[in-house]
Amino acid sequence: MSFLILSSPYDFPVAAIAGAIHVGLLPKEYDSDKLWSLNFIQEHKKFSHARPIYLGKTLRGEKVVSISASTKPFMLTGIIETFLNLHGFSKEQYRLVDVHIPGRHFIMVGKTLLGVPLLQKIGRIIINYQIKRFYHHLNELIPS
Amino acid sequence: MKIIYHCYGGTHSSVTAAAIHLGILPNYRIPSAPELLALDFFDRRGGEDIGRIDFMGRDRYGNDVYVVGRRSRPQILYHITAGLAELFDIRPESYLLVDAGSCVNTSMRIGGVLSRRLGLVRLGRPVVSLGTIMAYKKLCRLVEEVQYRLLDRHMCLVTDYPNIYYYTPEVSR
Repeated sequence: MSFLILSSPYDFPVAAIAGAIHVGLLPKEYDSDKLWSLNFIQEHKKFSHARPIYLGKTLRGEKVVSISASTKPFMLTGIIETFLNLHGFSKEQYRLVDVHIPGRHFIMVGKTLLGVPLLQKIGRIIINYQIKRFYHHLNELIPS
Repeated sequence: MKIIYHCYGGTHSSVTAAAIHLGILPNYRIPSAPELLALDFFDRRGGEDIGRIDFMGRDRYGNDVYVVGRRSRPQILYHITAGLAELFDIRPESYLLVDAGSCVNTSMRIGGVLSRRLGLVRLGRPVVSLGTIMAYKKLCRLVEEVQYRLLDRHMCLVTDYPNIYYYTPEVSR
């Protein structure tokens, strides 16, 4: 069994969006309604601070998991790689992809506004704008 | 079992605790600053080492001892390790996360920032060494508690051993 681990240095689950496109939970073209209907987006607070999100399997049987936390990207990849390495898992047994999109501040502001009841709509607009801009990039990021 | 001591930068309190655990530093007296500075990782790991779990040695019971820096967010370390353990069928009792950051005092913080963040090693190193000496008894107690629990585990043959989540101010905030 092989694994695909996606990590992103944002508290909003950007890596999970890339993973969802990869496993087919999201279409190749951006669809806002489908994006916001996903459970891990609706309950994004639950999955902050690097709580792993299991996204399912690809057609090749690869298990896809995403991890997002607002921190230095190398901290996430460092913990993942070394923790698996010390338990005897080699890099051949999993693929680790660092999911990065420009405009970290947009995501951060949008995520913060989503937590404020009266400003949720604005937060959603900001996140939509940023994800839509780089959706194509997220789609092409993971080599099949 | 793999014992992972963690703190903010993974270079002061966690390294000292791991050294006490391994018997490199004594637990019956307070070491001198040169003894601390002679440790492999003490005040030597930088920002690029954050998140990297490094091997320190093997204790007399055959447990592997590691150190890691996790900034001020230990929950990231807890969540990733727990998640990966579930995904890769790693037994939760095969590793133990110990937060040495709970023993850190102001001198260690100031010295750590001066030496590691600002690069003022000559100024920061004596301050962080003094802070570590001041926190040494607390670190010894932490290690003692870990060793006691490990010993207790060996004697009682407890199969399900939970990870120790020590109180950390930044988590409770």
